[in-house]
Amino acid sequence: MEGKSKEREIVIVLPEDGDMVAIKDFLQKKLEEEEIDKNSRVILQEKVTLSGKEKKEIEKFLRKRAGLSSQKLSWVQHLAEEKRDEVQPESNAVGTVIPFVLPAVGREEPEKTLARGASNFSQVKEGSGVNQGREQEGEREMLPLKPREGEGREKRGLTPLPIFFTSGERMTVWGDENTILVQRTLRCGQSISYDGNVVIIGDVNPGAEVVAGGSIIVMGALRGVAHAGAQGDEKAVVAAFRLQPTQLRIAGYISRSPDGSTSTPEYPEVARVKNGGIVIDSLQPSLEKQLCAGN
Amino acid sequence: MGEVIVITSGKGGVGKTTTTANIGTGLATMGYKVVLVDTDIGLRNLDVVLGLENRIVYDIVDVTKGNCKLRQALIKDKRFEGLHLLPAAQTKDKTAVSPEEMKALCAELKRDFDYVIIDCPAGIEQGFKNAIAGAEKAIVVTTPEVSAVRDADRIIGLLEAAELYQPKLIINRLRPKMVKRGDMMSIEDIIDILAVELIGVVPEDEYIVVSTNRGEPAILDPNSRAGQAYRNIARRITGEEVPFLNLEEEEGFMSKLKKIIGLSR
Ligand SMILES: Nc1ncnc2c1ncn2[C@@H]1O[C@H](COP(=O)(O)OP(=O)(O)O)[C@@H](O)[C@H]1O
Ligand SMILES: [Mg+2]
Repeated sequence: MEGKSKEREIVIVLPEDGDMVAIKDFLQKKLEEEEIDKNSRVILQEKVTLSGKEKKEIEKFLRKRAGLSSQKLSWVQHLAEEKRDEVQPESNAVGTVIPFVLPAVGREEPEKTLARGASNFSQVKEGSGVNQGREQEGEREMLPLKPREGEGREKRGLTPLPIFFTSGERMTVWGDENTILVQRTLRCGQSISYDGNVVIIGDVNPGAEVVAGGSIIVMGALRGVAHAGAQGDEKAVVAAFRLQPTQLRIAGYISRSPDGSTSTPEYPEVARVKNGGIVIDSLQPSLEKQLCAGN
Repeated sequence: MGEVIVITSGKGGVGKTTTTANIGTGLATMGYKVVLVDTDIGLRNLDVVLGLENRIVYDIVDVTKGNCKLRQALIKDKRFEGLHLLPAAQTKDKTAVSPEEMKALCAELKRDFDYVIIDCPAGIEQGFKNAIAGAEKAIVVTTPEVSAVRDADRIIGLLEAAELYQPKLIINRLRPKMVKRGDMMSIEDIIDILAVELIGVVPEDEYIVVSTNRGEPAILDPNSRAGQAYRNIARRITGEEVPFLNLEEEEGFMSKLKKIIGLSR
């Protein structure tokens, strides 16, 4: 315990324009200002997309000047302010109304009823070899902190958040800052619409509606209509303690509850888009794993 | 200062008027000064249920428009000294009264009566808004049907929006045998969705029809099971703790009920 120096995390937003020389000048200044050394952890946010070659050059520069290993470096796309505004003209205000438009492509009529049952469940639990392999390889965002390319997490407005273990290790989760907490039950005729994630502590009764740009989590019974990823995000999920929706929509997919009274399980479940349809899984085995998979 | 309670439901025909008449009569038998206000303008029938139709000269619209004094429009019940009715207008439009006028009217009635009970019309428009405008408490009536429960849920949301929180719930026309067969929503099913406190369960009772036609509230008949349920509700309104009726005559049901309403015993 004695010699363990404290690790510092510094976020550097790279200048928007400027060539390599200008960027290096800028970084040199930052290195001095922030007293960055080999024990620092640096998150670089690029405002314009840099090429792989340019990134390599910057990493090399930091290694030489500050002794920073690439393990301690991570890249993040900086989300431009205007981009956020585009999606959300009314700022982050609670209850911002977003247009209820379903993308025309991939749209399905609510002919498909919610698939729930042994086949779906086991399918997911056992998983294809791909799923299992991924986990064993430890690709669950353990260190080094490196965003996977092509997954577009940064573009979706996710921010890397470090989780510290008491043992000293660290991992990163991708968090979405744009989330509202609703501490009440939505009754028949009431609706909430928000361009972000919505967490409801309460029930969503039949005849009530939740529309979210991101995911929807109901810490109660979801009996009304829920539309997650309302602007086309197919990675959005709908999770509820009791998932008994009248209708579920994720991005352009719509599914409805089966006709007639069917018994629903007495445990939390999550719905997401899989293989071109909305599929419901149990949320019990590992809540975290499933929610991560949704990201 | 009295208490203003609105009896509402959203859906029509679930028993608001029957409930208003019986609870009002019940409270009057207990010695309270009660006034029942019929706000179902254009579709009045509280007067008929109470058997007072033939006494109406002035109505609620006459009062709010200043055609008469409030005192002149109040009809004294033929059986109970403390019971009064302010009838609705039959020929006028719902918009003839405004929420502000209702508020003023309730404030005035509250000064003279222990309980001001408002019979709300069906629906969620002007008539509903008028009925709840002056109310301090609300009782929501529902029947064990999905559509009625849905409307009750909607109403509870609207009541909350109007700052009438924690309404009490009456489940009317319950048929324990049907519930047992699984053909009717159970008390648990309804509470599960509405999540409000139950103040009474009134069984389906043929005698209600008889009493309505006679203009004598069922609460006055000691043999009516619905009447017994209404007597208990009236007592609960006054703050008394009254155990729930055993509707099924079967062991286990009472304990279940107690669990639902949180009665420790
Ligand atoms: N517990 C009951 N058992 C049998 N019939 C009932 C009961 N409650 C109400 N009714 C009948 O239902 C009908 C509608 O009742 P009413 O009180 O006029 O409803 P609302 O005022 O909500 O429209 C009436 O014919 C009444 O006699
Ligand atoms: Mg009525």
